[in-house]
Amino acid sequence: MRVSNYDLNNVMQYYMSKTQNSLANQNIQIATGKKFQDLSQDPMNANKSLILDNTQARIEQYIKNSDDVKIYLERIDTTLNSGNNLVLSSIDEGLKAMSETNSATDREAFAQVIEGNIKNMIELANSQYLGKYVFAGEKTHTKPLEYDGNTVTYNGDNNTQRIEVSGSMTMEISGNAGKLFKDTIESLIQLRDNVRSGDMDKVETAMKDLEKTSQVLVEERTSAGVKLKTLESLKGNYTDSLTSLKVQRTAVEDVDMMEAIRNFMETKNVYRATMQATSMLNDLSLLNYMK
Amino acid sequence: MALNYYISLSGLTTSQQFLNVTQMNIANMNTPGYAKQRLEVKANYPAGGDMIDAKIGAGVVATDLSRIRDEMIIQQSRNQQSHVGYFENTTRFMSDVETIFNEKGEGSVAKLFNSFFDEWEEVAKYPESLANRISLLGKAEKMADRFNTIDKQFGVMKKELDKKISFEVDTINNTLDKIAAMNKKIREVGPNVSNSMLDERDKYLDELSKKMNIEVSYEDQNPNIVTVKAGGAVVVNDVGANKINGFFDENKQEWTLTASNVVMRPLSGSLKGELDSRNQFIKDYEKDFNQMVSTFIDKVNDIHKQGFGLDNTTGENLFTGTDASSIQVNSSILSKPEKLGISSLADTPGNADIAKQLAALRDAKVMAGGNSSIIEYFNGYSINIASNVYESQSNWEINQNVYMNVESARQRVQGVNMDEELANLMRYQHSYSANAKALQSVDRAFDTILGLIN
Repeated sequence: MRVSNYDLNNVMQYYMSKTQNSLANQNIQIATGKKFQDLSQDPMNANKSLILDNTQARIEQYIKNSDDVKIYLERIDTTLNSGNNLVLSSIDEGLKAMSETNSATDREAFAQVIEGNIKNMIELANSQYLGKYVFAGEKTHTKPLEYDGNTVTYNGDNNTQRIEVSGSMTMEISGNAGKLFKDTIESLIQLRDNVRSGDMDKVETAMKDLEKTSQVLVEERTSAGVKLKTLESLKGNYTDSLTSLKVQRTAVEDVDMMEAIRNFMETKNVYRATMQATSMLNDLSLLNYMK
Repeated sequence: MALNYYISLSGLTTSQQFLNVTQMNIANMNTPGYAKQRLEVKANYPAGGDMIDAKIGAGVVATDLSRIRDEMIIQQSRNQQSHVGYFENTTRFMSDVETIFNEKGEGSVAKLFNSFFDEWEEVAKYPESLANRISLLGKAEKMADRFNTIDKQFGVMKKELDKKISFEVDTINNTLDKIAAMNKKIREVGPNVSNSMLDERDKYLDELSKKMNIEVSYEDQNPNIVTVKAGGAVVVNDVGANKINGFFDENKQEWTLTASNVVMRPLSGSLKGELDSRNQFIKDYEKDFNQMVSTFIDKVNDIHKQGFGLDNTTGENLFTGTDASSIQVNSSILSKPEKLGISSLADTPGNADIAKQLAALRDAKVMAGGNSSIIEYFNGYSINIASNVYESQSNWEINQNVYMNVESARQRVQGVNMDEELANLMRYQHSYSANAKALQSVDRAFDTILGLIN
């Protein structure tokens, strides 16, 4: 079969260019550690990669949401714990006030302590986080509890701010001071007034009422604890999912460095051999033997 | 019977011609489109004479100078070259589209979508926060800006394609002129046309076939004259070139080609690649992208305008515009982020029902007849572009390989092999020397006879 010199050169250039192109691509793979730089280099794996991107973005947002819920729940826990301490302190004052040896001045001193606790409780109910009232439902710009010394009014609403922590679970990030604090504060007012009046039976009844109404603080704290546990478990799942995504992403996007280097060496040798063969072939000619 | 100078002289002359042909072949060893030449010779016979003289013959005579070529392989090679030209151009165009989106790099649209919806979740947690509102509006602006940029880049690509098509048509017309001019020269020269003229015309036909698929036929009366048809129209007829005219219909946004009042529809070639890219591919890519952006604008606005801002503003669209070219963030909201409609109730700053609905739009199946979310649709769109690039690139490589094989087959027939020619060179050099020697022998024999006289 005849081979023309023109064709010989064309074919050599074509294959050398192809090999050089492969070398360049393999070099980029080694430099970046990625199988593909453009989606079109591997559409099948690129599709998987885009799905992984979306899944990862979703999980990362759920983690952010969970972290924010956690901050709220920890805040609730601290606030309700403080509220509970105020209730216990007030009961303590009530018990002290039940002694018959107390004078009117003594009782007034006990009542003043309870009044202080009421004000502190109001402060807890009106606490703010990042400029918003935490216990006002969705009326986060409105101070939830107003107190005039005798009555307490809830100005928030009965809605709850909730955010998604998973595809099927939402958790609240706002509370309702009307439900959480109002009854307890009213019981505290009753206790204060009864301590002040010196009617021991009524003080006892008020203390029982206070214990009863303040139960909500304990229950809500327990509930917050359970939710924190759930969140921890969710976060653990998300961390596992992210790890699993990372493994999947590695399989889809990352080059096997050993294989990439081996391929590069192999192609480099092919290229070198082609150049050497081309050079030898060009030297091999009748031209060298003609006188 | 007499001493015959002529036999050796004819050998000497023919050897010289052989050497000239070999020189020509070596000189054009690297000339594209060159067809190796071969001197056709035969043993010459005398017009008359004695019986033995007539039997010996009258030396050698060159009868023709052939161009060694195979028309069928040449047609195959040209046909294959037009496929290479087509896929080369579609691959370049589609790669450019892929580069506009750069989905694995910075400014990825899918990432912008994700971060836009993430911002709504952040706003849903802190609906009263101005900082979060400003951050969200920043993301919305970035997104609108990215869509505007993509639209502009589509516009630039369309203009570039228009320029390329005009330039390609001009180049083709120029080549058609050259082919017609060569036909004219060949006709004028007549039967003794130079092979180089035929080679030059073949080179133009090769160039033309890369730009569009052509059918070449030869005149019955003068087989050296070609007629060229392309896309259903005769583009070279004898010595005349029917130039191609390209018209761009602004309404249809389409190019139409005509030649000699016939609508031309090339089936392959680089021009066809550009026409398909301009008349079809870019329109489809742009349409699908705009459809997604329009749905995105509508869906976001439908939800947003039900919302109340911190100042109780309601009924406002978040985005103005209708597609990628016109999308903008509503300037009144941009200047007053408190107008962002996040709450479903007036005077309820902590309510984030609308923000939640907008965050949920991320997964809502609002595209492809309710089968895909916006992000899923866009990812499908990106993968479609990537697959088109991949397919076109593969077709380019496959056709390039086939072309290389066909072209090798063509070169096996018509190409010049240097060693072959060098061997011929030695052969004809020896032949020349031998004939010269024979001539010298005859001359000496003649001298001997003359010496007898003296």
